[in-house]
Amino acid sequence: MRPTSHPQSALRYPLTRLLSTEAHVRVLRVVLSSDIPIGVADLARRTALQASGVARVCTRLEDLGVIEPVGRGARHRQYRRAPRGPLVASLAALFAEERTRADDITERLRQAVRAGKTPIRAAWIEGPVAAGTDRPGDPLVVGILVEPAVADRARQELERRLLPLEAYGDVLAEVRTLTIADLATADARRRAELASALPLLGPLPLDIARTRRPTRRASRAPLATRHADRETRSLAVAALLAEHLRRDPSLVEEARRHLERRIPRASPGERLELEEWQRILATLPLARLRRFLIRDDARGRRLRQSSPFLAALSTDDRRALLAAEAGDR
Amino acid sequence: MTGARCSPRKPATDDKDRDFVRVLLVERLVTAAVLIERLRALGLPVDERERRVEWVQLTAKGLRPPRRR
Repeated sequence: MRPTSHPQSALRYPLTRLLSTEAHVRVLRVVLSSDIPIGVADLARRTALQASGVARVCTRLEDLGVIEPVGRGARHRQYRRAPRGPLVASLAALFAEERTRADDITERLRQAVRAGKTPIRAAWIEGPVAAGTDRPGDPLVVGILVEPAVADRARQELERRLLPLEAYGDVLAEVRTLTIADLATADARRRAELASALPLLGPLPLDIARTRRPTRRASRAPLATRHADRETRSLAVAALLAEHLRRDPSLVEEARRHLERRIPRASPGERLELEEWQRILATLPLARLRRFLIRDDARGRRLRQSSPFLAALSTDDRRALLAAEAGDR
Repeated sequence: MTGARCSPRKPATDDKDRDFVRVLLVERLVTAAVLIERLRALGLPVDERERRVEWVQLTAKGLRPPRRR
C-alpha cells in the first residue's frame, strides 16, 4: 500500500505506527509475550522473518518506545518490552488474548471429538491451519480416524457438534474421515499433508500409519517391545528438546505459559502431572533442567509423557525437531 | 447400482470416491472380490493398482466382525 497522503498524529494515534506492518506485529507479539530479553537471531527464527528486517523493525519499535535494547554492541543486542512504553501493557494483554482464543478453539474441538457416541480412535487438525499457512476464510480441517462401518455417522455427528464452535470462533470447520485403510494406502501428497497434523485425540495419523505400514509383522510385536520403542523415541525427542533449550532458553518461559493455559482444562490425573512440571520449571536452573529432561529413570519416563516443551515450540520448530528425530531413526 | 455393474474407475483416489466406495462395501452393494477383480482389469500402473487393491482389502477387513476367542 502506498503511504497515505495525510499522516495522523503520533501522539493521538500511536497504534497506527506501532501496528503499521505485519513485521511490526510479529516482532511485538514475541517481545511483548516474553519475560526475558530476546536477541535478533532468535527473534528472526520465531517470527519467520529475515534477521536484517527484524533488526530494522526493532530499531523502529525502539524509537516508538515500546521495546528497549539490553546489552552493548549491535551483534549481541537483545530486546525486551519497555515497561513504561505507550500501550505496552494493553498490547501484551491483546497478544495474550489472541493466544487464549486459539487455545480455546483447540480445546472446544477436543471436547467435541471426545463427546461423541460414535467411537473416534484419533483426531487431529490438518490442512492450512495445521501447516500455519491459513488465510482468512480457510476452513479448519479436522481429521478423524474411525472404523469404516461408522465413518459416515461419525462425520455427521462431529459436524453437528462443531456448529457451536463455528459460531463461537467465527471459523468454518470441515471434517475428514479416515480409516486404517486410507492411512495405510495414502499417497505421497496425502502423507505430506498429514505430516503437519496437530494432535487432538490419540496418536498422530502418520504415527499410526508408521506403526501399521511395516504392517502385520509390526502389529504382532510384543506389547512390551512397542512400549519400549515409544519410550526410546520419547527420550530421543527429549534429547533434541534439551539441545534446543541450550540455544533458546526462552522455551522455558513458553512452557510455563503453556502449563498455565493447560492446567485449568486438564483432567485430574493430567493436572497432577502438569503441576509437577510447574514446580520443576519454577525450581530447576536451566542446566539441571536440561539434564532432567533426558533422565532415564521411572520419574523421567513418566513425566516425559506430559512434557510441556514440545507443545511450547512454534509449529515450525516442532516440525523440524520431529523430522530430525525421525531422520535419526 | 449393483455389485455386478459397479465399475470403480478410481475407487481410492479422492476422499469423495473413497467415501462412496466405502458406503458400497458397508451396505454390501458390492463385494471386495468384485471390486478387486475390476481393479485388476484396469490399465493402471502396477503400484497404483496394488495400492487401491490394498485399500479395498483393508476396508473389507475393517468391516468384518471381530473374531471371537
